[in-house]
Amino acid sequence: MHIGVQGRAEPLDGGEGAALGVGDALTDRGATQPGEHAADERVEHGGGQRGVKGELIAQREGQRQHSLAHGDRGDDAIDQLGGQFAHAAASARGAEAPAFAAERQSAAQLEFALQQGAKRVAVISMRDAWGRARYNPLMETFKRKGVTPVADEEMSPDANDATPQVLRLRQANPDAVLIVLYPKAAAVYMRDAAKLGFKPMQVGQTALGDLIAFREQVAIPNALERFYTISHVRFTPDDPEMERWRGLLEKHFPGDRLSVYNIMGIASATVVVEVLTRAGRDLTRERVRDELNKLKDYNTGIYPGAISCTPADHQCHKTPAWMQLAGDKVKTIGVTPVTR
Amino acid sequence: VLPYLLVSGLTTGSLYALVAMGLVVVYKATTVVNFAHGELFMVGGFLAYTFHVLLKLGYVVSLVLAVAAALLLGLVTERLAYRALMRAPAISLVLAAVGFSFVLKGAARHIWGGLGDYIPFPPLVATPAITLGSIILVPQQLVVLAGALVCMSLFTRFFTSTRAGKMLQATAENAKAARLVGIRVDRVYAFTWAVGAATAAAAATLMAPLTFVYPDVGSPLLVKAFAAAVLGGFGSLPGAVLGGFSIGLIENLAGGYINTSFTDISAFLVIMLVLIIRPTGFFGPRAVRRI
Repeated sequence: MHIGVQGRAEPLDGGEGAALGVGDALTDRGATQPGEHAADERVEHGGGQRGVKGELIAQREGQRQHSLAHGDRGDDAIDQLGGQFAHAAASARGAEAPAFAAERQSAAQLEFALQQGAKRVAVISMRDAWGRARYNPLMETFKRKGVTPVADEEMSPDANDATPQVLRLRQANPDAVLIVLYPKAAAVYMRDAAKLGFKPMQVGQTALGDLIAFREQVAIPNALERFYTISHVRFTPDDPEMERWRGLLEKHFPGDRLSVYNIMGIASATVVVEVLTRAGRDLTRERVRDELNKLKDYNTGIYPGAISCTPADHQCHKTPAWMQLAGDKVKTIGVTPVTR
Repeated sequence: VLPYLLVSGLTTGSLYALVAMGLVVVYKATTVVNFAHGELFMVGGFLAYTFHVLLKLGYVVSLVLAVAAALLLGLVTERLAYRALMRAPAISLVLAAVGFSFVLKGAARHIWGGLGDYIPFPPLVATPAITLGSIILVPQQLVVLAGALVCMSLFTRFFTSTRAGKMLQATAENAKAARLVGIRVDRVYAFTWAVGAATAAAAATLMAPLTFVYPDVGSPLLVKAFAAAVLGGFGSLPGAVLGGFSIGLIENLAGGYINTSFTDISAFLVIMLVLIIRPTGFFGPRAVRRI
């Protein structure tokens, strides 16, 4: 697997700044580059391109297509894409279905930490089925990179106290902690870390993609100062670009609130609508699969990168975004194209 | 490290102890393990959240209202679900309790669903941690611990010093004899289920800042509380308290000094050992076999 942190890419809004690379985004150098403005603009203005091809925080052409070594997973396009739907639905509880997506996330977590200069990296994880789907690939990525975690702690998803975990991690003195936990356990961990003054870089994954909700759960001011997490989508629920969807959700589900997980579902649904539209009225399983296979550089307007599938690669979304809280707002700070 | 582990272990232990007390209260009077107790805790948390966060009432007022509402819920469910089964085999009551737990969970999802996955409850104190030498004391934890201790002492006082508490104990001791001396046993049973629900609501309101509020919060707590009650000797209130604190401390010390993988299982390993040596737990009556 190759993970490229995007250093340069096509500008989102046809603007002047190069798209921000994560590696730049968190460094002093990156902070002064025009790319950061591009990243901010993506969050603030980027949604007006819904359904337009190839105008996202897109990867370069050469980075776009990497066939998977998963021939056995590539037979059924709907099943594969269905992983994204399963994700959107299951993530209402912070869960996520497709194992390969989990594998990519885990690799991206470590890559991100190392690119920020972390030398000593620790892990805190759940070891249930959800956690294992992420923890095992993460450990393989550690091995592949020749890095040994300085601490490797476990936490139960229902834990109400993370004091032992925080104390053991603190003793290992890591620069970064990779968090493979559900939101509840992660909130307990971050809360106890803040209480005990443990403040390394903390790197989350999509289960922690709703930063506003996560901040409310942690409920300690500034506890998320050094917390970064992956999001499948480049918008936050309070983004003006999400107004249309927010309105629809509130109309049809009174009392509910738009969350980042809804936005993930909307992005997936946008892809399906596009494929169904292309398949036309003579709708067959084969036509849907063929149209999905032909999808190239499709811009949902919501995913951080373009959606491209091939007959051998149905993991069409390869561009997780990195997000951080900046004051009361969630900021997209860059993207990490992940390919095999 | 040790002071942190002890303080957090006692705080977590107080949560287990409070939930275990509710279990024991019902068991003492009815000899039924209330498997809906975890869900009563959950409903108590949602009630407190409704009063405190949604209706913006003061914390103490919310606590009182949540306890009162849970008391009412206990009375109603006793009338609807349990009373008809009080003369049935105990297994019927246990199954009714399990069924009721699912009803409560479903009702919670229906009433409070959509508010968030894990709903945060505002901390009782927002004061930053206090550093005493090398020890960091977290006021929130201390307040929760103190609140739990106050609750425990109030319940203990209720059972030992009030007329209602003594009637409840008398019924638990021997229902037939209690009836003979004029105690209205049916009312005592109703009151018992209600008090059990009230303890759950009190525990939930105190602990919600630590546990969050969500429909599934009760089940894992029930397992720990059940273990605490067994360790203390099922049926003994002091035993439930001691069992709860023991489990909290064992979990934290094992997690801190052995491995964090041991956090969840360590308490159960110790319980198995204790029960092998003393099957009736810390304060359970010694089993006497006549030969």
